[in-house]
Amino acid sequence: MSSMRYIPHEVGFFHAIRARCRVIGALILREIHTRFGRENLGYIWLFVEPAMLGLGVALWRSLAGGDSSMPGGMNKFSFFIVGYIVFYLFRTLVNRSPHGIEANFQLFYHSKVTIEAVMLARSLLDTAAVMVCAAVFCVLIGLFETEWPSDPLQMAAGILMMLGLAHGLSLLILSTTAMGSQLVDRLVHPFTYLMLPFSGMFYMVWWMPGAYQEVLLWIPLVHVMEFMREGQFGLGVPYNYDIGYILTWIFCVNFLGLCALKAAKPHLEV
Amino acid sequence: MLELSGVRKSFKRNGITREVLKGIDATFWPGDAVGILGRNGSGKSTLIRIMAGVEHPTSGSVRRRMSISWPMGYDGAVHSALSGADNARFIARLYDRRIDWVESFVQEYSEIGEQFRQPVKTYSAGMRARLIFALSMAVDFDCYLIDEVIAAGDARFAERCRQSLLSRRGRSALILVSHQVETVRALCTHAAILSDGRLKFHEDLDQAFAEYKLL
Repeated sequence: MSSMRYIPHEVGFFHAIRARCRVIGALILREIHTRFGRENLGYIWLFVEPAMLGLGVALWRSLAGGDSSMPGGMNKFSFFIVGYIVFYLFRTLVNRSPHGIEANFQLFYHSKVTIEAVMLARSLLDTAAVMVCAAVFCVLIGLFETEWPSDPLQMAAGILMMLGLAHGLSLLILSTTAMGSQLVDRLVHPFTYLMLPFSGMFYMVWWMPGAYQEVLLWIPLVHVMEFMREGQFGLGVPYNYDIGYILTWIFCVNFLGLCALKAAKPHLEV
Repeated sequence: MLELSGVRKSFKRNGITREVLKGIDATFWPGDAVGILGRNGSGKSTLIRIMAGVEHPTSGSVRRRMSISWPMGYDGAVHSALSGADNARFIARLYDRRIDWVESFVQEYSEIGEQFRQPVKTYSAGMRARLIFALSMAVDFDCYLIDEVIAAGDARFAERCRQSLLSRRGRSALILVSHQVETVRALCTHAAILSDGRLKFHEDLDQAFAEYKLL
């Protein structure tokens, strides 16, 4: 019995943080493996899809509007492509959230792996992919259209805010689905489609009449998009956003999401 | 230490709620080798899945102060689209073990050979069970959870599993659930009986077996 190990050593706060980070790191690497696989090129679509939509809208705008430029002289391609990529992050995280558990049930056989960690790892990976994608298009647009982003760091911060909103919302949706609400599961896809015109992806708030502006500015996505675009196009046109409003939303959805997940855990079926 | 306090679990099927576990209190320490006996449908698997953290109790709490294995006897714990090697590397990262060491240990111990680099879904049931067991040996858990007999394909490997678990007795905790008295006798020093959603511990194996036969 000399080799008996009595483990209950007290675990410090920083030790616990490090352990959490290690778990999330391992989950991210695994997610990369399962998605990329050894032989599929799944992430090519992350580039192709926004490029197709962005190009389509940009083409339609130039055909319909002739040579007339956008209000404020913004570049059509960078406006729609980068706008769509940022919305794509929101759509992906939210659409996928109802099935966050079935898709990863093997992971929950490891007591170290929590649902929170799995969801966070997946959200972080998608955010990283979207950042890379946005950077690639910014460089391409810079090379071909000589339109370089005015503040890439502000754009990155905007993408992180989108992550915050979408992640919190995905936790809420996951929890309500787990509590047995099939309705939420069915409504998620229509919801993200309907959010498209309300995401600020197709327009700037100042293009709109005053009354519409007020309504649009209730939507946190619009604020995030405006903030991101300020980093993209720089000063010269009016931007309408309120950082405090965005951060309040992010805090609220994440807080409610985590509470809902705690309440839903006893009902989860793996 | 693994501590369950006031663990209750109920399931809802077609609008009818059935309480499977009705308040389980238990503490397990490294070195314990406990067999939990229960008839079919008594909630054995639910109990071990709650211990492992696969499922969460409806009320009550589970505290884990040692590393706990996944419940052995399931195909969970490995991802079938990934190769055995990729699974081994993931588990090494997750449990903070040396990656190259875990990979070579698992390949050797599981005797999977060339297919170690192929996706797990191409494995036979026996190979899969060997992989999962080898992974758990590589992590070297403080507590092993085992659901039913380790039917790892062939008898030779099952015997090796038994030897490996026995050699760990005294060092790691071993919690086994089964409906068979023989399995518990082969691996455990203590027994408990799960019936009607409650767990009753016995110091003496024979006394437990006698009571279990009366159920």
